[in-house]
Amino acid sequence: MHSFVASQPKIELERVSLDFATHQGPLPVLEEVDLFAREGEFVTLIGPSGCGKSTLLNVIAGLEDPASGTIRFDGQPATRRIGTVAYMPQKDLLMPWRTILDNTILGMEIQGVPREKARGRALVLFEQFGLKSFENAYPSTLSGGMRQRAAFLRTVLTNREIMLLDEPFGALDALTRSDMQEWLLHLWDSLHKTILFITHDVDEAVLLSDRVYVLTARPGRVKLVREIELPRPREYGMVTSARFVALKEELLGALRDETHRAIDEDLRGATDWGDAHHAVVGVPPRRDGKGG
Amino acid sequence: MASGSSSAVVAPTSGKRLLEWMLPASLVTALLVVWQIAATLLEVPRWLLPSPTDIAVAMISSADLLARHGLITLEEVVVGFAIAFVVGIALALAIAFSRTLERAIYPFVIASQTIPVIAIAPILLIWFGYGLLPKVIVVALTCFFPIVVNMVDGLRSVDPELVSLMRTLGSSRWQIFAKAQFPSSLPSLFSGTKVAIAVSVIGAVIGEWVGSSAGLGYFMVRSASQFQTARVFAAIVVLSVMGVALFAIAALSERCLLPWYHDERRNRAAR
Repeated sequence: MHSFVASQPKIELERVSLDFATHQGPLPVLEEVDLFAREGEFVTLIGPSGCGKSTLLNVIAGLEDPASGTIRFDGQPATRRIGTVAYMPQKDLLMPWRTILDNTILGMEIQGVPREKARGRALVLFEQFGLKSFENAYPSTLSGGMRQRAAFLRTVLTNREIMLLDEPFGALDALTRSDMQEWLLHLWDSLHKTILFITHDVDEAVLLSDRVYVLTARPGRVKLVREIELPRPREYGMVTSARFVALKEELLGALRDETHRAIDEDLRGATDWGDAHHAVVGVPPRRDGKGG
Repeated sequence: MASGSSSAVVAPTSGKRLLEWMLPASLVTALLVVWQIAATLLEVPRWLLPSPTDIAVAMISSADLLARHGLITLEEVVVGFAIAFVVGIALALAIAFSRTLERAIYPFVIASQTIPVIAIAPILLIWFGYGLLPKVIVVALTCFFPIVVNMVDGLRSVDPELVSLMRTLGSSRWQIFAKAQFPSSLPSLFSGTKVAIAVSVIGAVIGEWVGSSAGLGYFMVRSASQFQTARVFAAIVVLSVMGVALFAIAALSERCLLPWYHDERRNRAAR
């Protein structure tokens, strides 16, 4: 098992708040968010669009500072966080002028690892990431799923203990998406990383996570925390089990309230509503051809 | 989708490629034939409109003159363009990285384009005489603007999310510039370069018209004053070939230096 009980959390957020400056004055985006992840845990944030999930990751990554509240890594207040956690944004952001191999070593290169050494370390993982024989291809020749795996490999190769993943599968089609979920499930067992994950997809959240946080519509607050006690290793077949369905319904209920509230309060919140609505009406879990 | 197959899927067959060349070639040929027939049948005087064969004869008979003057014009173009390229990139970097420098420099860059080159050329003549220098300056003045403007846009077009990602990886400002911003500006730089090269020949000829003792512009002025119109056309042909050849060199170096950009466009077109 990857997760073990540690005395203090790897990441801990205590009453973290953040406002955006607008013409009408400060707009509260995050309000007193409490959150933690132990070492090796997979923790997921779900919430309606515009609830500040991505902003929360930006804050943890050090791209922004909270207006108030404390962020601790290993129990120590982390004031200078930039460059200390691995961050994978929604877009793959592969550099079109670099080959896939050279894209994946970007983090190591910036840390000063010599290129040849970095390439050697990356190449070992190409097979596991389903990128074999694409080492010298440019990103434009790859499919969406492959690009996403390349971006994920780049994130893993930064060799940080904490990884922040912002809807890494959000832009993929349904089939590729379930493939990727299953792939990530298997991969994660060997990674030993603490992961904070954002998704719109409740199935994905329950399947992958040790703990799920449901955030409220803006300003983002923690509405519900749910430990996912499903046994590991997990597999796709679990999505039909009674416990899985019960957990999913609980999370969907909380999310539905907030999604509706978000739509009532802010029409702009409706831009990505399609995804959330999909989950609300209970589209059955997608299965890939290989079975789970 | 496999990377290896992309060239096989997209590369046109030799037959299709032949057709791509045949169409423009036959169009040009048809135009020349019509011109030739019209000039002969309508008995247009040669000094007014020489026929294509007259022009060909002029090109052969004055080949040594065209070569000598052509090389001088080429020298002005190449030196002027090289100066514009270096100065243009330097100005673009200054503009893109400092608001203060942007406010100081950009108005002058734009103002330099509102003044017709033909008006500046006589002043340069007074200052620098009939030699190479004033023509080089005119060429550089016509060339640098598209380079600066495109390069500035390119430097600013870097994806802000990529910059954020670079920051989370612990990049310094220099690393963000060298690894993200500069490479993403290169396609724009090459666009600007291609425009600059196309107009550079015009700059050289204008510089020569105003006052010189050599170059194809001078050759044209002298020929026209003697009503040797076929020679004027011959010089125009040489200038066109020069411009197209320089443009082709720019396009080719873009392809060699930015192979990914070529691939990307081709894949986008194929989708």
